[in-house]
Amino acid sequence: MSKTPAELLMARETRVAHGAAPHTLAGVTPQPNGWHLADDQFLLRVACDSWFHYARGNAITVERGAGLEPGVEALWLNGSVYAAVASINGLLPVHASAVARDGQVIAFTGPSGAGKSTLIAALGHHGLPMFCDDTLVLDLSDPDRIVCLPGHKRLKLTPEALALTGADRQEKVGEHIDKFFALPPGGDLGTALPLGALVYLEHGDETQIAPITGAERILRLQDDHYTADYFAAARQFDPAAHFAHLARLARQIPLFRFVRPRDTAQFQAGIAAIARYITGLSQPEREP
Amino acid sequence: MTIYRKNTQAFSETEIDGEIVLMQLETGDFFSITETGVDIWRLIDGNRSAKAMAAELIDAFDGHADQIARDIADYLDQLLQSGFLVKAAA
Repeated sequence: MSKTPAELLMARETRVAHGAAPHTLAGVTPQPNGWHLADDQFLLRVACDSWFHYARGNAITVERGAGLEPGVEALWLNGSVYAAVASINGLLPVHASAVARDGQVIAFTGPSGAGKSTLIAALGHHGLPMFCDDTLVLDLSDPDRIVCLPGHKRLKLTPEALALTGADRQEKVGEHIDKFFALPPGGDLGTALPLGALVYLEHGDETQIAPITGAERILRLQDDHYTADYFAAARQFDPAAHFAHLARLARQIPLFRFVRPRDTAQFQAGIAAIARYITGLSQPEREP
Repeated sequence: MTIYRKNTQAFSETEIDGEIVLMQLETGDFFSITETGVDIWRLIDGNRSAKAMAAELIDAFDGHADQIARDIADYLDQLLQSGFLVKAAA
């Protein structure tokens, strides 16, 4: 299937060259592990005195400092830099992992450690292929629907998550990172699809799946992670525009909460419950 | 008799699932209006008093019309204190 304009744009804009990068953007020199976004450009400074610079239309330049592992460089490129490039080009990155179901994307969000990657790996055993891991990029250019770009990252799992999900373990992500690349048990899907639902992962005593309604929908979307900061900075939102943006997302994206116990003995039961729920959600409505 | 109107320069507003969500433009703070508060919010037009609103909402509340008018006035005062309303000339 042919790629969407947004996919082609991201493929073009995320090309990488190595060489000297600026250390100042719009008069600002970021602190180590800090960033600055201005004038359709993004500058990120990471440990080992390495710099990542993106200018719209000119792709990405990486200035490697001594000791920057290639694996770590790739993590920065696929994480913060990718999210910033998307934001500068009008695409909204969301901190979420997702599966595909009946031609729609069901995305799961929550803070780091909430179990996003483990969940989508486990859902592969229920016939739900992975759509993306960790970052979901949304194309908002069509006012009537929100389209998701296929994931650009490989699935990464901890040793515990590999054991829980039975995913096929690949190489280590980085020398000092206790995660491994993994093959999603249900395969993955590389086609842009509309967003069907965004599910917030929470922990609690009892498994519970329920829609999020009313004002809480906006409040949940407001409570986003670092990726939203890039988008807001790139769009130079004033408060009214920021609110209008949140209101649009709240109206167009069905939101749910999935509460489950931390106890790993109850992990598979929770996965089965959310798999059944998702299947019911995305079934097309039929005449009686 | 006090009459209020919405201070529309100070906030953005949207409706989701029958609830009203307001955001203070200066502070970025959110405020939600639910249930009968939504009915009151919709009647604030810079012309109606609390008593006039009570007359229109009598079926939605339990109690005497004067008590309902006082409850509505208290609610309007909360919205005033939060900056979403201003006093209008009666």
